[in-house]
This record gives sequence, structure tokens and C-alpha cells, in this order.
Amino acid sequence: MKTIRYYAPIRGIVKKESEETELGSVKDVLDYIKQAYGKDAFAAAKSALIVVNDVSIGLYQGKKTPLADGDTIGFLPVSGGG
Amino acid sequence: MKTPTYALIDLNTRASSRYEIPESLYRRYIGGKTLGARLLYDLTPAGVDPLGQDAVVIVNTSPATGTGAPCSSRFNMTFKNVLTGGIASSNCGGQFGVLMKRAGYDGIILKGQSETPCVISIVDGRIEITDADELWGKDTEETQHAFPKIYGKLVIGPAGEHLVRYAAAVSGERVAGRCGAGAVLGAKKIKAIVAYGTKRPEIHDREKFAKYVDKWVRFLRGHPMTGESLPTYGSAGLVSKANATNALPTHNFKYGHFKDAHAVSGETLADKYLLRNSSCISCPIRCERRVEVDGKDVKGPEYETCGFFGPNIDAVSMENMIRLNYLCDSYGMDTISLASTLAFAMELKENGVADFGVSFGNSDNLADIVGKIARREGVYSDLANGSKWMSERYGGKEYAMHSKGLEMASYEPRRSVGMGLGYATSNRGGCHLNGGYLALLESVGVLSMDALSTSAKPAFTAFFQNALEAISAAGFCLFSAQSFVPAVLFKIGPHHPVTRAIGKIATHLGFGVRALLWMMPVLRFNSVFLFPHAEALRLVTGLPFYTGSFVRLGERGYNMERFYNYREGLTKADDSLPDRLTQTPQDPNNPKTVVRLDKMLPVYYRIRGWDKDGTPEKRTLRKLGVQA
Ligand code: SF4
Repeated sequence: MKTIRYYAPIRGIVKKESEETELGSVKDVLDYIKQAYGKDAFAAAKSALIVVNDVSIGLYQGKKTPLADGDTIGFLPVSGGG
Repeated sequence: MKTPTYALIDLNTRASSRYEIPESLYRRYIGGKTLGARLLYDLTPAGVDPLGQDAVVIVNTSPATGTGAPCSSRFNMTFKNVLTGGIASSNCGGQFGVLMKRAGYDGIILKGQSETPCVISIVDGRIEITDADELWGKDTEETQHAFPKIYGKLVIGPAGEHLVRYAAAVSGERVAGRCGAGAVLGAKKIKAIVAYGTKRPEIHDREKFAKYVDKWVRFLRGHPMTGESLPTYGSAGLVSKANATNALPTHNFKYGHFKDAHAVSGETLADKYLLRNSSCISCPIRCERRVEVDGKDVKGPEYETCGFFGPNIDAVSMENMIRLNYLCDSYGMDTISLASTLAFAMELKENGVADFGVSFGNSDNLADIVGKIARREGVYSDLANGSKWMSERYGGKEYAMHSKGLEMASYEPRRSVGMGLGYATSNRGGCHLNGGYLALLESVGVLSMDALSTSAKPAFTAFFQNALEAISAAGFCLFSAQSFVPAVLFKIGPHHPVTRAIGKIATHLGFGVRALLWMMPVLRFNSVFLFPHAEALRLVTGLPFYTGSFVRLGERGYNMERFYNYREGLTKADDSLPDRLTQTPQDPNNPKTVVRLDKMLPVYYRIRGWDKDGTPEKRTLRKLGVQA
């Protein structure tokens, strides 16, 4: 089992903070979001900072990053400033 | 031309006089930290003790301060850095600057030392210095309550009185935090400076300026960074971002990733603690958060505070963090230097060197210890001297996380090597902002250059150091510059092929940026997308500021500061980082996860027009109009 975590702005569209999944990669999760929640949710998910176990998928294999049991995939807002 | 009027205040005699800034100086240095650096150089001999009789403290504004332009309520303090012995500038968003200007003074220059505690009040052009014995010992909140609400206040707390080397000065709930701004006032026995007046600030072309401000505000509100992200999460939103790229200092910078970062993130702060947003005067971004803890409505912690009272000491309590943030403001202490010094003390304990009763993973006892540090009680007086001093006394220099003596901000430079170069070369010491803030392009922003490549980093660092210097000198909050990353990149996101391609191209764009630096004098245009500050400055002052001359102003200021450091004996050896960052890869399996200062510094010096020892060459100073 893997966990999907949603943050603003996508959380406002899917109307949930998290859910469980058996999907096997980041791409599968993005496809699932498109099917289950529609175009806006998909656009928000694609443009989010996507992390697997809190690490950017940019440091793994991008959207091809596989998901293993116990992993958490998160869709974080892109931001900056400090 | 109306040039700035300063007041020269002699604490020895408690007398004051007007000090008109000569037009030539004004045209070249404008205001804020750049003019401050010039004045400090001119008004003090080399080698003064920053806490001594001969030290000078400058509190000044900039042309844009209080004009109603976005993010323009800032004021600056320039003084000899208590932690580094070089230049210090500390910027603050409280009301004090605006009201000092309305009272008729663009700045004040403080000389000498009062024998007893005093208050300086600047009201409608009149300056009075009165005794403040009854205020001495009070925290910053109580002290400010002693004055009328409508006054702008700049005060110190117990930490400043006890000359804690990283004591802060506080205005409202905003803080001039870094470099010991509170200590230098404490050394002069100034408990508070208050100001009030109704004079309108000078604006060269009021009508055009008002129109431009409207346009700029609309742009900031419509930009995903300044219109959505910063208002929603504040700077604390960066915790998750830095963690996602292994750039979040953890366990005194030993690691760059904290498994419980979510507990202390901006998202958690927004979900569980946020009451509402707040802001400095005339700011459309409104990044400040109001949060609740112990039934009290207080200012929320910024990113640096979240990072340092969280992951960097392995602590997960958001409540403790909010309390500590509040306490530091009450005592008047910089959260970055304090918390980084605590992390150093924790590592000393872990290594069996010294035990100050602090240990990684526990923030429950820190409220008590922070108070002891602020009052320099017993052995805690050592911690009040900062991590550099501590490492000289107890050992552990390789993991005392400062540069030149100033503790670094919360970005792990082994995953943001340009930020590492910025920390090492920053004139005031380990500061991300004075260092050019490349972390935003390497590890925590939407656009990601290769964070481990040294290739274009010297050029980018020099460019952004100059640009941020100019924005600050003109009187704007640096957050207003965050809209320079095109909005479309936020729409398509960091993983989109176009965003990644731009990041890759930028990684190898060193020559392009060098050419840009060289072309500055001919860049005679202004754009709201790049540096709207330049156009605002042009309309406020009537001086020919365009993108190129604006960045040049920053370059001049940067060199002036460097020249001050040089005079005070800082050398190439001070452009350094602790061995942990330059010798030990963050990822043992990836030798590139170190900061290769040896590779970047020579290129950086060349780009800057400094000799191989990092000293500004005569022709560079001549080109910029900086005279010794
Ligand atoms: S962005 Fe934040 S710190 Fe800057 S002026 Fe606005 S409220 Fe103040």
C-alpha cells in the first residue's frame, strides 16, 4: 500500500488530504488523478512539486519514478522565499 | 536636488546636529546599506571596537522608504559587525523607518556612548535624549508599550543590554536581526529610539509614480510567487521544498534531509496554527503569519526559524518553535545565530567535548536556556558569543556553521553550491541574501539549475549579489524581487521539460551572465518583469536609474562593503566555509556533494575585478567611483 498526500492548490480540487493506492509509479498516479478528478486536478498535480518520501522526483527518475510498498507520494505547492 | 538629511547624534554629550549628505555621495550611494557602508568607512578609523566608544551606528532609510511603493517600509542599520569584525547591515520592516523619515530625517548617525540608559526621540524634526533607567531590563514588547502607539519604535531587549553578540533590534514585531544590531545599541546604552512626524516623503514625479505603483501592485498580486505562494505559506513554505532537494540543514548541517520535516513545515503551520496574514506597511504580498500558541496571538516563525529550531536540532515540536520565536523577539535575539549556536553546542555534547544541557532532539528545555543566554547567566554567557567564538574556545571549528563569524542561513550549501559560494563571499558573513540567494535557483525554487555544478555559479552569484544589494539600497523588501521568475514556469511546474531545459541552460550560462554584467552601462530600459525597483527609484529621485545603472549601484555598494572589510583586515582566508561543507560529501556515495570553493573563488574574484587575493583592484574601484 502507498499513500498519496495532497496540498494546496490540488487539495482544494480533490477535496481530500490523502488517500491510499496500489499504483506502481508517479506517472500512474498522475493518470489516476486525471481520470478520477478531472483536468483541473491533473493540471495542478503536474505543476506541483512532486515528492516521493519527501524527496523531489527530480532527484529520482522524474515521472517514471517507481513507488514501492509503504512509499508516500506528495503534491506540494511550488514556492520560494526565505 | 533634495539630498538626504541625517542627524548626527553624540551620545557622549547628548547633543545632535543636522548632517546633509553631499549630492555627489547621494548620487553614487543613494541610501540604505550602500550609503551606510560609505558613511561608516568615512566616519570611523580602522580597527574600532564595534562595542566601544568610537563605534558608529547608522540607522537610515532609502529614497523609496514610506512612499507607498510595494514593500517599501524597510529601513537599514549599518555598523561594524559584532560577530565578524567587518561590515554589518541589518534590514527591518517595522514602522520606525517610515516615521523617522516623516519626522524629517532620512537617517541618524549615532556616535559615542551614553553613561546611563537613554531614549532618543525624534518628533517633528526635534531630537531629544532622555534617561531610560526605568526601561532598562524590560523586554522589547514592554519597552515598546511605554511609548505612544502611533510612534515608530526601534528598541532592544535584555540580550542587547547584555551585549549578546547576536542581539537584535526590534521595531513593532519586525526585527533587525543579524550581526549584533541590538548589541551595538546596547553598548551605547540606547534602550529605544522612537520617531513620529507627518512630513510627506519627497517624490520627484508623483503622478507617474502613483500610476507605476498601481501597475506594480497588480503585477505582484497576479504572480504565483508573490500573489499566492508567499501569502499562503509565508517563507515557512520552504521547509518542504528544501527537504525535497536534500538542502534542509539537519543535525547541525550534518545532513540535508529530515524525515519529520512535515511537522515543522509551512504547510503544517498553515493547516494547524495560522490565524491570519499580516504585513509590513504598504506591502501587497503580506507574507507575515499570525499564529496562536498558549492562547496568545503571536507572529509566526519564518523559514529560517522553522529550519533552525526544527530539523537543524532534530526537533519536531511546532509549539516549541513558535514559543522560541516569540521569546527571541522579546529578548531581542537573532533566531538564526542563536539556534545555530545551540546546534553547535549540541554537537559538542554529542562528541563529548562540553555539556551545556542541550541535546539534539529536545527543544523542551530551550525556552529556559534562551533566557539564560539573553542574560548571559553563568556558562551560558559563552553561547551568547556565537559559534565562531565557541569553536575557538572549545574546538570543533570544522562543524561551527558560520562564515566570517556570522552563522549561515537555513540552506545546506552542499546541495546548492552557488549558495555556498554566496555564503563564503557575502560581505556580512554567512548570509543567504547578501550572498546572492542562489538557493532559489538551485534547490528551493521552481527553476532548478544543476545544484552541484560549479560552472556558472560565480557569475550568477556576483550578478544576484549586486541586484539584491541595489534593491535593498533603494529601500525595498527583497521578497518583492521574487517575481522575476516568469509566472508561466509556476503554471507548468518544476518537472515540466521546458522548466528543466531552462534550468539546464542556465547551468551553463556563465559567459552569458558575465557578458550581462559587462553590459550594465548600456542596459537603459526598465521592466516591471525584471527590476521594477529601478523604475520606481527613477520616478522617486529623478535620477537616471535603469536596469543597468540600478544593478551597477548594487555593484558599487558591494565593492564599498568589501573595501571596508579589507580595511578592517578581512582577507581571502575569510571567504571560507567550515570543513564539513568543503571536505565531507553530504552523500558519501556522491563526491560532488561538497562546496568546491577552491574552484569557484578564483573565477568569482576575476568576474568581480578583484585580484587573486580577493582585494578590489584600483581600476575596479575607479570604474565604480569608489574612492578610498
Ligand atoms: S513581503 Fe513580507 S517581509 Fe516583505 S515587506 Fe511584505 S510583509 Fe514585510
